Amino acid sequence: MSDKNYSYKALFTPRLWYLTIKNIKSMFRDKMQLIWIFGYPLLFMSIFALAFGGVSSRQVYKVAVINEDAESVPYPENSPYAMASIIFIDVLESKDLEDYVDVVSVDDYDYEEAYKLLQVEQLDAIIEIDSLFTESILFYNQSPEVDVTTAADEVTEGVIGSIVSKIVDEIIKNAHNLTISGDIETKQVIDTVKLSAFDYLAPGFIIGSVLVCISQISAHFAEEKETRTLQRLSTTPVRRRNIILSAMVSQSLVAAIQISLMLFLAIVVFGAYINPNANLILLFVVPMLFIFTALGFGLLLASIVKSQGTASGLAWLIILPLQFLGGVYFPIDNPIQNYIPTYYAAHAMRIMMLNGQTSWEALSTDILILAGFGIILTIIGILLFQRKSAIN
Amino acid sequence: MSIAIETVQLKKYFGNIRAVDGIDLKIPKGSLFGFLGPNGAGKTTTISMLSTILPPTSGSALILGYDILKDAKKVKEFIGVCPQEIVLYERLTARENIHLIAQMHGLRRADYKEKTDDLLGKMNLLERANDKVKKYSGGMRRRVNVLMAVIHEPEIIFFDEPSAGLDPQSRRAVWEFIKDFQKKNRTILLTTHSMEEADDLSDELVIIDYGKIIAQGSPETLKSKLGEGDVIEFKVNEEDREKREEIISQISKLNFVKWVKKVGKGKIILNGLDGLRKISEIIDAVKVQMQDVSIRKNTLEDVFLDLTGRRLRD
Repeated sequence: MSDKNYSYKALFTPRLWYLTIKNIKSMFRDKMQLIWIFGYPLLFMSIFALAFGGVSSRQVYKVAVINEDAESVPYPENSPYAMASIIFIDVLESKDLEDYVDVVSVDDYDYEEAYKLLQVEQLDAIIEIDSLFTESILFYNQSPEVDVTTAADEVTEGVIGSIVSKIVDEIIKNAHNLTISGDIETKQVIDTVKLSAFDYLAPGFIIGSVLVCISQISAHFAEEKETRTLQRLSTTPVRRRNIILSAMVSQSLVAAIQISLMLFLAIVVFGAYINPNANLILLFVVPMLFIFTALGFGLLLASIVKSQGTASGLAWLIILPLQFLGGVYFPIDNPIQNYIPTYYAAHAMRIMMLNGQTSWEALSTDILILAGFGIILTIIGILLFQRKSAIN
Repeated sequence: MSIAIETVQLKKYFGNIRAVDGIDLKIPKGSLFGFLGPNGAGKTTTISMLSTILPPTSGSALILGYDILKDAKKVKEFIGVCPQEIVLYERLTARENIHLIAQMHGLRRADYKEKTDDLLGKMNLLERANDKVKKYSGGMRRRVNVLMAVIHEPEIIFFDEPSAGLDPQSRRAVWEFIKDFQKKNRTILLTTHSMEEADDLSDELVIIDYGKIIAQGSPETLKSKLGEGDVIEFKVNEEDREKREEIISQISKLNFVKWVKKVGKGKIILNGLDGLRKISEIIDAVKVQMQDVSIRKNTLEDVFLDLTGRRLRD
């Protein structure tokens, strides 16, 4: 053994760090890669903003309301308070909203009857007002429960969900001045309905852009195989998992830049709608969580391809089904979407951006399923890549 | 004598192709051991197995006593590999490429920073050390390729055709570098299909063909087996084929001639102590025009030719 000093105590972290730096330098010194990293989100979002930004999704949505709010709320004596659910329905039926919402029934149908009408497209949505609606607002100062059922159509779900959410917010804001003739500000509610198709599609675009990681990481390893640098690294004591992790870290960094850029372009430059209650950090975190799924797919691909050209080509065989079967851009009415991770990522993004959902209750299903997909695919990807490329 | 590399019936088959077919080696520590053979003889495959990136089909190999399969991670700590192809990160500088390998071997910055510059200086690359290697000439890239194998001062270095494609000046620089490195008591395994390289650098070498060792010894020992005389190589007119056969027949009968080989269409080489004048007479007698003649000392190429009937470059 020579007299060199090995820093064995810190074998794992420094090597991972050095490899990550190497990957980042290589990426950022390649003009074509730079164009790809920054140009892709710019081009992608610009094209979609141009294509869909001017198309209004405005239509009159036919809605049935089922009001289960308790009829005998124990109001204080001589109270001016009215039932909040009545005010909710009044606003929904108001002249201001008649261009957007047509309340075809209030308590004319039970849920099953209404659902049958929904299935034959005679209704666009069913709004169920919970029995504790007024009580929650007036006495417990809590958001009441309102269930919205729509066809498997993200746009309708987004519009009706936003309208309901806005009206409820306005009622809560004015909770102590509510009368039967309570005057609820409808301007904000109408603004919600004025959203363009781009506003509804933008959350999906961001998820769609993350999928490009599949192509990037598989092309990265294909290049390492083609140029034999992976083999050269294999003659050093560095572990294969360090090599894989370093690629994942550097690709995640690029994806983080792309996600930030997409959010900035969508919201600031192209003015995509973002619910005032939306949490920007969550809008960044959910796509980042989805990156693990994309990288897992990328590693699976990287384990079988040997050239960059093959990697880039085959990547689209994974990306396209994930985009379209997961309803990233256009909603699909097919149970297959339940098995596609992009569906959960896009759904989470939409309810966060359009409906302003931030609660764990609303997001937990999507986040847990995404985390599950991410963990499983990453582990399978790493194991397969290690096995297939350990010895060439 | 302690052994640095030991293989026992090491084999590697790719389907029906026997790339390496039962190699037994014992390479002493501190020696510069040559692997001479034509392209496709199994040299690179052997190095790939010894450097743990290719598992053998059968047989075993120990590097400083560590098994290449069971103790692969340990083996990697002791070796440096200079691959036959130039393997660099194109968008990194020469300095960054060398640093990366040092970092992968767990060296501290203080240990590799100055050493890198020292090595770059020895290879006349210091001035352009911060240029991306994709801007380098082929010779410069190959020199970086060599430095990446030695930055961590490994006990054993595998040089796989280290001077392939280099101009004579760069080749000489690489050879000197390898010799200097050996002086530090490192064990070097050098593969080459260049007889000059093997002859000039190796303490001991094996000649390998079709995956098998066909001869082993020091360059001098191997050459001496062909005799102490000179090699006379001459070329006659191609159309005089029958007369050429006659010349070979007559020359073979001369008592001072050790061997005669036909090489290509018109060339004949032979080994003899002193016979140019006599040979000239024979050629004149059969009225064949001699186009070219040379007299030289034995080379390893002649050894290979003697063993296989082919030239190394065939």
